[in-house]
Amino acid sequence: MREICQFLDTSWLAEAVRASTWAFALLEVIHLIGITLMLGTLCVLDLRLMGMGMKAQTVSEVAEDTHPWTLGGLILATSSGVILAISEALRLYDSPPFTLKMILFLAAVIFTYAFQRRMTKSTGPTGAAKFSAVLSLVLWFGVGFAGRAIAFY
Amino acid sequence: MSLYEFCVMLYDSNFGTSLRESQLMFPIVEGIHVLGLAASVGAIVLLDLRLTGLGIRSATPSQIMRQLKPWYITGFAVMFITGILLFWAEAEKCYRSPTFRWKLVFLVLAGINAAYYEVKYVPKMDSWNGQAALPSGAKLVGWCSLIFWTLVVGFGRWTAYGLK
Repeated sequence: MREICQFLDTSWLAEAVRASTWAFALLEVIHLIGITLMLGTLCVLDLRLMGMGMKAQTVSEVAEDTHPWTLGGLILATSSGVILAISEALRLYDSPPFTLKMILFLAAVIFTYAFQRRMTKSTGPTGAAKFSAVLSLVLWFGVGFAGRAIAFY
Repeated sequence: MSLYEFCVMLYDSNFGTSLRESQLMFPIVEGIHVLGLAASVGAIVLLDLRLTGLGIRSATPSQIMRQLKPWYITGFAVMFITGILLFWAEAEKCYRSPTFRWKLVFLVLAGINAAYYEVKYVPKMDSWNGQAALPSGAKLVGWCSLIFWTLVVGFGRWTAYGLK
């Protein structure tokens, strides 16, 4: 793993990002805009699953309407995130918050796509739907907090 | 007292200094600011997407606004309070940061845009129910909101990256 990080860290892409004055900051900006789109639309779906907002619409209506934007945000955040990670792969190899972020990110993606999307087919705010919404918020905000912690620790 | 002196006073105050130097509190406040912002701006974007006609077609603008307004207000309050705290801790650096000034400019524009919508279109929103086409002015408000908030988020992130 360390060798892979070493390889990425010395790749032309990493060199290019580090050599540029604006690239890293610009990628951070794109990363956060993706997160905003993703997290905001996902929060609305979670609020609906908890029965705390958008109740005039059915769960599946909210899920269908928000999903393209959640996915778009996720793609934007992930693609910029991959380039950011490559540009400082060696530093991240030793970063506990980054490791935590990746574990939570995997768990959050699997949970969202393998389990939570089934809840959006049901009609009312069942106990399982509410639980899935709380877990979704905990996981995704966990990803965000761990991500922000990378810069500090 | 000039604005710069005021910023220095905040920066050098006990509260500002201890927040800035705290290993735990500063990252926590900044984390809440960034993620609170992501969640609430993202929820505002939902209304903008509906106004511009880009998406969220199962709900009318008035349904979205009425149902999400408590969350818009909560989210904005969280952003605003944590934002004030962060400014307190970093006031002198923020004063010198060009990106921070741009952030404030677009924040004010986003505020004016939202106030304009509130006055001009919120009273009429209910009559749009079931109508296919929205007034072009409301559509424009949606586009302005999308652009201003994107720039607020962008310049905000850039500010955190470039403070020295």
